[in-house]
Amino acid sequence: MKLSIERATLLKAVGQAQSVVERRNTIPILANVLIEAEGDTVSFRATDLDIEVVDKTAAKVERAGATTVSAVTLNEIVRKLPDGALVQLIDDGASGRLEIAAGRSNFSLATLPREDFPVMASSEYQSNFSAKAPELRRLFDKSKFAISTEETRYYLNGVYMHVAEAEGGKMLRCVATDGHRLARIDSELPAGAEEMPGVIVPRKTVGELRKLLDDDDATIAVSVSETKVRFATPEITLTSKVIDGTFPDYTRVIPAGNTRKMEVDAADFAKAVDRVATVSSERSRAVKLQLDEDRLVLSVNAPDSGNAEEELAVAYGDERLEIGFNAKYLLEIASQVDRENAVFLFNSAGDPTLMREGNDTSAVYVVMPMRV
Amino acid sequence: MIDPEDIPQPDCAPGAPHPREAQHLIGQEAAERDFLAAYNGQRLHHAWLITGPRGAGKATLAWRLARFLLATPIDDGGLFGAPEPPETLDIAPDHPVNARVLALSEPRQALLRRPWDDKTERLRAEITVDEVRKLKAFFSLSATDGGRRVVIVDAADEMNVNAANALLKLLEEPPADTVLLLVCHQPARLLPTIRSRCRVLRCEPLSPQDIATVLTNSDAPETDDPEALAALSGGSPGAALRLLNQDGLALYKSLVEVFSQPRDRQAALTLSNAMVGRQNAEKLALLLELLDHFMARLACAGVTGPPAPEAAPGEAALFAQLCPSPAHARRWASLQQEISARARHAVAVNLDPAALILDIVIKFHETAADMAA
Repeated sequence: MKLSIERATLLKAVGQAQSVVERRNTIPILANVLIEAEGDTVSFRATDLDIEVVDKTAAKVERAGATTVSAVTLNEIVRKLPDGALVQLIDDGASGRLEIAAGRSNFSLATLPREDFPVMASSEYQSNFSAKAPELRRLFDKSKFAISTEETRYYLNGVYMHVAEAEGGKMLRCVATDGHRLARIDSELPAGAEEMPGVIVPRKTVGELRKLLDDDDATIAVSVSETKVRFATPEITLTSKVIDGTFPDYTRVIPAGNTRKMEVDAADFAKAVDRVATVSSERSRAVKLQLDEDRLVLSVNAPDSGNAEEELAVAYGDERLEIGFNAKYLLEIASQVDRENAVFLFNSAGDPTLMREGNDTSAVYVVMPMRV
Repeated sequence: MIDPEDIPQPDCAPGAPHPREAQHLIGQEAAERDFLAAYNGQRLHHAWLITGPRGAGKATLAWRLARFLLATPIDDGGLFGAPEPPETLDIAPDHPVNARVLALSEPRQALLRRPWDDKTERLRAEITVDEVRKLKAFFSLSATDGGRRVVIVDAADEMNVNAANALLKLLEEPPADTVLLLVCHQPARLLPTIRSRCRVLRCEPLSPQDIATVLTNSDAPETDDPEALAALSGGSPGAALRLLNQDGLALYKSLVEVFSQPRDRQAALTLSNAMVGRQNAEKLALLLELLDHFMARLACAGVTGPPAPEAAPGEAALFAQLCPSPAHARRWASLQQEISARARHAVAVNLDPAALILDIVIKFHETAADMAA
């Protein structure tokens, strides 16, 4: 293999690929990045056996070939090279070394054979469609805060992406829950996604995927099968295992008959919750909400450290209600609201509460109350 | 912190290559046939307990089975019907699974072994429950490209009780298309609940010819007495390699000499003084093991006649003199139990090895004189 490539392009490609490499890793080949040069492109592939990232970029390839070198070391070297340098990667296949040359700097890195590198097969997807990056960003960003970290219910450790029947017809829907709160985000169904099997995308994959979604104009090619999922931009391909489990029937826990409606400015509400929760030092900071006509009183009572109380003007027309919540949960769902007022729908102090943005039902959140 | 590549592999015998690197397995054809019969009979059990003497090739067999299971696609009744039933566990040498298993990068395979402790900078003495819990994460994700998943536990008797109980859950309700291979030196030490959920695959001791073949294939030093080696190794090529590498035959020879000369205190002193010090810890362990072998062979000689072949010159004559009848054999057998218990205790509390060996030798000669009288 012999190729030359611009330093900035190389740094971007290697940097993205090596982010999935596990830092504390005892298997040498998994600390490596697989470099494959062919035609006029070079690809950098890294994996932790659960997620694989391939970054393709243009390069001047003089001799095709493939090898693997330590991802972290390669990244460090390229990062320290001067900006604008032209980097040459040369592997003669026999010496077991990859030569890196840029200007007057020369490096020689130990390689491992490419056959040792586990590559995820690229075939056999049941459904392929493309989606706009902002749409996917909204789906995952607004749901990921609710992903569970509890290992016993491993099937909740991800975002359930599936096709669902909603009021406006079939939707692409993402749901995440940890048993205390739930986020259900809908988006228009992209063409070709009708047959998509529902998959649970693991937490780490959601984090890696987020890095592909920053560009507003990008289109993401999504491929889904029952055992893996792939998100691809023209340069980067992210392939991941999915969680092997059944997502619970979440529709049962989304309350439909909550009638007591409170409307409040989300930002003001979040700030007030944050302020009153300061006095409580427990892990589950309970905030009490006292609702009266057009008036909300938030209060925290921590016997050993003190009390706090704050009043907010809200739109509420139902009878008096007292209900408690975990402050962290309230803050997290309130911070998902970015355009209109937050609308809370209560039933009683013991029933789950529903929150949405204005009258928009494409993003709804459910949170369980706490006894206070 | 220690470089990950320098961490010793807990499932690898000192001085020997790791069992996953061995491409051939000698002398375990019966076990292989049993497994293939189960495979071809569509009755592949999900958990296999591979038992047998230490060094007989249990781990090598486990890795061989793993490669076979990972490389052979599941019969899904495709267009052309079921594939031909395989006749051997061999897979094509250029199969991609080979390279990946060797590099430990096969995504469908998990390995449970004693973990490295970063704090104490040494290997843990047992497989802890955290290791077993990692399997949970392994199985909570899908198998990307389909096919079987294989877990190797090396060795199952190194699991502590918590780890064993955690594994039990998996043995009871294994995920689809999963095979667990448990390598086990002493099945009696496992929880009965684990034993009862596994099918046993026994690795028999090897014949002297097979041991000789293994030794020729390995890069161990040449031996001038292959018969004695086979007799002492108890049918385990691993033990034979260890005897070769640590010069166990010569040690056994000197042991026989010390025991044949009741009046030669000097020989006993030389032998015991050679065991002193930390650098000789491995040698001491080998000597105590050989001592056990010696006493066992001595007791057997009273019942079945002098050993053939001899493991050291003069052994048969010594045995004939010391242990001519089954009644003598009983005395020697009880002395063996006593001595081995004493040795275990001495090692556990770190007694002076020289005193221990000398004490054993004196005790031995006293018993011999007592019996002769």
